[in-house]
Amino acid sequence: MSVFKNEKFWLVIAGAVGSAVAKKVLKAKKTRELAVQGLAHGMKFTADAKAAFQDMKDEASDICNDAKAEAGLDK
Amino acid sequence: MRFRIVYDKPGRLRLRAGAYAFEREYEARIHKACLSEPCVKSVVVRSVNGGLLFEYSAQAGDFEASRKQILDFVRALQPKELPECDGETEYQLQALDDGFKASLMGMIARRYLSRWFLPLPIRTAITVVRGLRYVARGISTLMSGKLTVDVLDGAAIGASLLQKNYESAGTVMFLLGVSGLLEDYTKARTRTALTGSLAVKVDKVWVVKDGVDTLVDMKDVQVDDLVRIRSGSMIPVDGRVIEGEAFVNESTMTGESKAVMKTAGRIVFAGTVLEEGAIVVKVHAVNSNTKIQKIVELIDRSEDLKASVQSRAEHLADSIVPFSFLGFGLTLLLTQNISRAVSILMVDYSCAIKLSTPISVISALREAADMDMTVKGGKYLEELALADTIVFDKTGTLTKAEPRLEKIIPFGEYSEKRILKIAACIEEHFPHSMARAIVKAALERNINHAEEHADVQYIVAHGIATSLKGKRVVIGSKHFVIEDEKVNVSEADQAIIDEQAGAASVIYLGIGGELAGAICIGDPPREEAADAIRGLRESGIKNVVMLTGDSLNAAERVAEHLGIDTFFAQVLPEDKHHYVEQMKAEGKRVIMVGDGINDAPALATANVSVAMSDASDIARETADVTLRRENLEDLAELRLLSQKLMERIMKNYRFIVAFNTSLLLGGFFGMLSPTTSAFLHNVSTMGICAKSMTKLKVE
Repeated sequence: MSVFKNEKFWLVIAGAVGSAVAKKVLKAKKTRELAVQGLAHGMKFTADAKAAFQDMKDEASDICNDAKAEAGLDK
Repeated sequence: MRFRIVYDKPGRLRLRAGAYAFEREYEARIHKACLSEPCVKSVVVRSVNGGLLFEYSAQAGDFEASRKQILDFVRALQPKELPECDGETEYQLQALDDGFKASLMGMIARRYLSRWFLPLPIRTAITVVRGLRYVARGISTLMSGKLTVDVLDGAAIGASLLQKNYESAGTVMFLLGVSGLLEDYTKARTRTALTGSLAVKVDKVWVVKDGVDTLVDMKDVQVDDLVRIRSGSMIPVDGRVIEGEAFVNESTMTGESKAVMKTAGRIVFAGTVLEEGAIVVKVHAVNSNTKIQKIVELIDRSEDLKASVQSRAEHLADSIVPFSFLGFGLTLLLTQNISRAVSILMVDYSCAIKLSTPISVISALREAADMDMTVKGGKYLEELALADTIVFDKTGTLTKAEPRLEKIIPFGEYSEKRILKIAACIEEHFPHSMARAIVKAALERNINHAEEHADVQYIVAHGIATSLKGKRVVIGSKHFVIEDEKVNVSEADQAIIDEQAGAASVIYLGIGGELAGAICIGDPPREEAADAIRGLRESGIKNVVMLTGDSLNAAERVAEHLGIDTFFAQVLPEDKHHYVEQMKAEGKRVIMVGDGINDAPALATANVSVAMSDASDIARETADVTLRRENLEDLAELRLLSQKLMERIMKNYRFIVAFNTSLLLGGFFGMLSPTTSAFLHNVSTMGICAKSMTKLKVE
């Protein structure tokens, strides 16, 4: 049975099995949970990054305010 | 609310509650609540990190007392329990600004981070998929028979993809995306700023049912319901006053800041504010049907009212596209170099012209709104810039329309008192400004005028006729009394009137076919009128024209006082628009400024029309521009703004043509690669758009 010795045949079979498994994995509850968690982490990361950036801006503004006060430029 | 103190100096205190302390929608409420503390001068609220920055004053010279007061207040603060408030526009704008910055940074980050984290084949696949969308849009535009910028974009990106020049295609798409984002942001910001100031934000109202007041959600209020409104509230509906009386500030509608007395039977509008008193209103219209909402919708649509320079720019942008393709073909033919030919496709004039022109117009509209002027669309700014003639209605426009009785000239057997008594008795039936002056004068002189006459007949904008003890009584303009009603006026009497009236308008009173008296009513010009006219002349207005129904004498004096070179006196209301039509027929571009009901046809006829803040509703609706402050000098400022806008558009245009032509030549001679061409082209486009968003700074 030369067909079983054909490398391409096994590649096709592997591809088909791979697709079936991938479909199952994608539809699995666990995968969904993981995706949701990943997304939530991503969203939290974005919010934290924005907060950290705003903190930096605020602190820079305070430093700038102090510098102005020292230079006698404040109102 | 729990917080940390992160900055603490006398007069300035920064607290931080953390990223999830409160949502963005609470920012405005917290802001308002914090400002209610007497020592707080200003406060900045940021939901992103739960930040609160206070600038505060010392109470009785003690900063510590103020600081403690603020800290106690914030500790006790429960954002979710704070009532909704108006003035949220500022925070909406802030949200838009933040959103724009975040989107822009996101786009830039995606572009550059993907280079580091994504393997080349995946990056290429993403570029191809995104590029194909542009190509598909270009093909679909081409299939609908149009050769527009979309086709050019699709072709440029498609050609780069075919050449496997994914970097170049990516750059073009990135910059097109940024330009699009910039345009959306400018439009959204303009709309929010304009509509936010007008929107009615009332959630609950008191509805009177069977004599009992019930608090009802605004959305449940129906037409014909009775709504009770008290001092300090915004009127949430259009309706008629049924009971009570109150002073209502209608400045959102009329621009007039002086409160108007509203009694039973009077109409009130949503969006106006009840300053003092209490009224019950029978609802005529709620929510989307209210007049204020119609104005908001109008502003929302205002971008459809494109300036013709804007339409021309878009047309020009699209009309250049075939030439870009021609350039591409010729370059390919002459140089046999596909790379050089693609460089030509990468550069086009259209993109920058098409983007920078509307952005310039929109930001000028925004600047006008900041200066308290409502311009209904870009095309009117263009007309304002191009106009060479300005036509003013006199009463209410050049003057304040607050006429005062100056003199009574009696004739025959009649005394001054008798004339005023008869005139006031007739005129009190009509709410005309001249009539009010007469009635007011009678009141001031304690002249009681019991009804002695029969039914009065009002002849629009001419005068009034009635009968008194069997004699026909007519009161009104010279034209009406002498020409229409054939009242006998001797030359000697007319000479006396002409001599004594001066600049005042004269109202003739005829009884039984004979002249009984002449009532002189003065209406002094607005203080700033002469300066405004001078400013308009300096800005290039060649002809300043005044139209008035007043006597030649009165018109002449006012014209002389204000430096007006052409005037037409004793103009009949229905003829005003003929004058405007005639000027247009002579090739002049006319601005008409008016305020009354009778000005509406002339306003509609002019190239661009302006209504004063205290104008009648119809004049304001017809007019293309409304001055919300009662100041004619705003008109000169608006003219300058419009001229600066046109200058900016032309300057942009010259720069775009010069810069992109040099890029085309660079591409043709092989000095610039397609990627460099695309980069320089798109960066210059973004730069010019950003410049177009800046203020025109009219002094």
